[in-house]
Amino acid sequence: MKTMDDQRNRAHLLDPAELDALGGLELVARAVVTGFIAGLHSSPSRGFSVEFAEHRAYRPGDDLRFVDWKMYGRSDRFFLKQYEEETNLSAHVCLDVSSSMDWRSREAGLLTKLDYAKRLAASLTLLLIRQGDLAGVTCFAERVLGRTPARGTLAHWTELVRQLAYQSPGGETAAEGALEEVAARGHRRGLVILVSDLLVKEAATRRTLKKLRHQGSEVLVFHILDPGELELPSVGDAVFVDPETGDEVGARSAELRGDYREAVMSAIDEWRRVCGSQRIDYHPIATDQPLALCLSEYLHTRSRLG
Amino acid sequence: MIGFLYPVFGLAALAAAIPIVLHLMRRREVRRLTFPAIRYIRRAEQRQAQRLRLRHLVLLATRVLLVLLLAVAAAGPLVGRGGPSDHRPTALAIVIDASLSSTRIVGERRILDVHLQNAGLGVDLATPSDRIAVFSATRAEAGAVALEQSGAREYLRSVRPAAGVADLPGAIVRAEIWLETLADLERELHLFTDLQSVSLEAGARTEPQVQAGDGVSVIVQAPELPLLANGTPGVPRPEIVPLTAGRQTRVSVPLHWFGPAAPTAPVILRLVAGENVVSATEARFGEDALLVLPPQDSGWSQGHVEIDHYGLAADDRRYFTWLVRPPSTVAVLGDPGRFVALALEALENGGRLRSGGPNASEVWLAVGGERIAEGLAAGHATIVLPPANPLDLARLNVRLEQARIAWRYETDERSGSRRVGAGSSLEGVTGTEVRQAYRLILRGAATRDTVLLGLDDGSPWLVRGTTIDGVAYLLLGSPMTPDASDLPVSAAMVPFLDALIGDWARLAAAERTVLEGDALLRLPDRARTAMLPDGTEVPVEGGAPFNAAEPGNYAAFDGEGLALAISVNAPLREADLAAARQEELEAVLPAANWSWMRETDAADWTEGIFKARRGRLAWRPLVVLLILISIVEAALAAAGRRADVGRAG
Repeated sequence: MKTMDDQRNRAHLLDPAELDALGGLELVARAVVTGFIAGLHSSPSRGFSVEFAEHRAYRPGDDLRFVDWKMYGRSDRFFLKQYEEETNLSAHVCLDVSSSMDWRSREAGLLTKLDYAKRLAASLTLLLIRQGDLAGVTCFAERVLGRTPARGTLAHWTELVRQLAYQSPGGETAAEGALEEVAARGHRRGLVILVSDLLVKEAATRRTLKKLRHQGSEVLVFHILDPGELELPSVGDAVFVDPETGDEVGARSAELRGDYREAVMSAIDEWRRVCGSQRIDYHPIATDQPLALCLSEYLHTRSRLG
Repeated sequence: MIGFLYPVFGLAALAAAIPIVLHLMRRREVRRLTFPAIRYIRRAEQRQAQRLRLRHLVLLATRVLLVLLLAVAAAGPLVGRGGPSDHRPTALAIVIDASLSSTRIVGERRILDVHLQNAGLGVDLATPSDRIAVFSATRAEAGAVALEQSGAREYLRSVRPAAGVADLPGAIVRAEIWLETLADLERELHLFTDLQSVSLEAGARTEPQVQAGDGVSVIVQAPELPLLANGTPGVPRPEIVPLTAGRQTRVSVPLHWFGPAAPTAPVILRLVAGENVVSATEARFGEDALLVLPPQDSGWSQGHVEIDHYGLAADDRRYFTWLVRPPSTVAVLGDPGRFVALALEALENGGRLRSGGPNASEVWLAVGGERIAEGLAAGHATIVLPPANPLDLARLNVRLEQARIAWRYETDERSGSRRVGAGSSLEGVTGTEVRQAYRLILRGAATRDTVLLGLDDGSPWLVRGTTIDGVAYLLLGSPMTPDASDLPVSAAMVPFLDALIGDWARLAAAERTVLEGDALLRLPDRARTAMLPDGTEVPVEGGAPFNAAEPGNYAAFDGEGLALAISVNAPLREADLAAARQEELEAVLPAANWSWMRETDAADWTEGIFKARRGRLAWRPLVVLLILISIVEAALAAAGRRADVGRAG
């Protein structure tokens, strides 16, 4: 029988819907990140390409984690490892909170795309901050709805999570505006993480992503997909209504399903091709997939940044 | 107003509601769903539309191909275009126009010869499974002549220029009737004609035998010919028929011209009796020429008149047959007077007549009408010499009335002499002074009797009539005495009596010795051989019909001598070479597929005939192809549905 502690230990592997049993957004994110880090075979800090430079004498207040215990064994004195460069990475999560994100194909066992994206954003920012990086979040729909600047403290993360929790969905999607704003504010090498269902103005969004890349930013795109969006639901003759625009399309789902699947796959392939050409990491994620997958993708991207 | 016999059945109309109810019951509620990714639905619809469009195009192409193949199958496709002899079994009807106009020379050959050659090519290219029939456009009696290949060749070899006017509409109808009996075969009609206008004078038919779509191909070979002016003599007409042996007569021959303007120069016209030119004269077209037929021996004679070549050569001759009878036997009843007796004696001495008893004589010379009723009833031609004494006229008139002759004699109170008027070809008779003449009065209605000679005051002087049995009688207006006229003492007396007895008394309705057009003769039962116009003698069956198609003189013989003599000429209108228009022939052609060949080239002809029937029907490969394409079509349709279901799944 699974206990709550067991679930917390492997929260990063849980079905996202099951994570909700753990508590609120902050708690879930902490559990995911903690479980994720514990599951790594080696310290994530090594993966950050932080190079050892020299030792210095311990001073009260220093973090005991950096004490070189081997030196202590040889000399009975406390020395701290001094690294060559400890400058933090500035990462910014652009979170799509438009109406289309507030949808799930079934009530049971699935989060809405927005809830999934919020948990992903919280987890990513916590992981960033724990690794000594700076993390900020911009929520957008047809315009920027909220912005938290990038900082590296846990208190900042707590505030960030609170803002995420209270961010309500609504409006159409204009990702290019939010990304433009991030690009305009970015004054140093950074990481921009776009979390969206990409039901956006594709050409404009791709142009802005390209612009970010030209500015030197690394870009990571999480394409949030509900499993019900990958397959057209079997509803017979139906009128499908766009939650953002109110547009309606009548269709016979049985006849259209195959072409729909091919259209979705074609769109994903196109995003993958466009992003690949700009060295943008693109990851389509279904909302029934564990969040750890997203974190792994993030770590992969982060490892390239050094 | 509309009424109903059984209104209760109108309730059945309520059944019309059933499909409506079913339709309403089956109508489903359409759900409305919030779905963010409708852009993918739109793209899916576009993809589906593109795929459907492509599939529909392929299906359309397949189905069009199916329809095309069906149409090709319906059109009877032929595989392998071999030679003309490689064709499906065909009923071949050949219509030959062998009228005289088809003997016109084009290039260096007669049109008919070229047509016969090309018709023979069609026969040569026929196969044993074909049926052949040859129809003559000039022989109305000739129906379908179903022939084997060899028989058709032989028939074509026997075709000669015919005397008849071609009746193309009639021949085509006969061919169509024959073709209709062979509807299970392919059918082809080869029509050879010089397209003379008169050949279409029968006009368009009202009920074509072969309807449109019957699959009959008509190939017409009719060369385009310029107008050819043509001159031709008409049928000779002897003045005296039958002619008495030893007597000459004049022959009248009209000269006809067909064309824009007749030549002004005279044409030489020759009269040929047997093989000898017996007389010749010059005349102009549009006039009647007179030729002299010299004395002949008794019996049937044949000959022709001819002109030099003008236009069509075949009608430069006109044939005729005439009968020369032996001298008449005469019986004199009563006293004719000294001068008549002397004249009769002179004629008998000259061999122009013979004296005989009344019963054995052809001609009675009845003075005062002696026994006239008896003689006419017995078939003796009778010449009435009026009495010199007017008191005897009453008895004469009684005798005439008894003989049912519509004439009577009356005395003429007019004084002074008169003269015989013009009208006689006998020298010396015209102008003879007549001092005593009776008035010949016609009683009752006009008869067919004719006045041979009259006086200068217009009164009749010599009347010829026939009884209802066809026996001739002659009524002379004056007694044969020197007091009555100068005739008995003139040199004209003997020729006058000669004509009176030898010619006029024996004038009979001319026998039909000259025929026009193709003639089907009924030969005498005793006939054994027949002589054709070219002089060849062929055996014949007595009493059987004999086809005298070629213009010329024909004769039939029994074991002892001549049994029949007759001449055949083409109708005069055949000499009119005006060409018919192509449309005029089109109007009489069957409503079938037909084509024209205005050139007579043999190679073109062999290429053109059986054209639509060459090769073998491609039924089997076509059916296989149709099945294959049907399978492809069904597979495409099924694959499309499976693909839809697969995508949906």
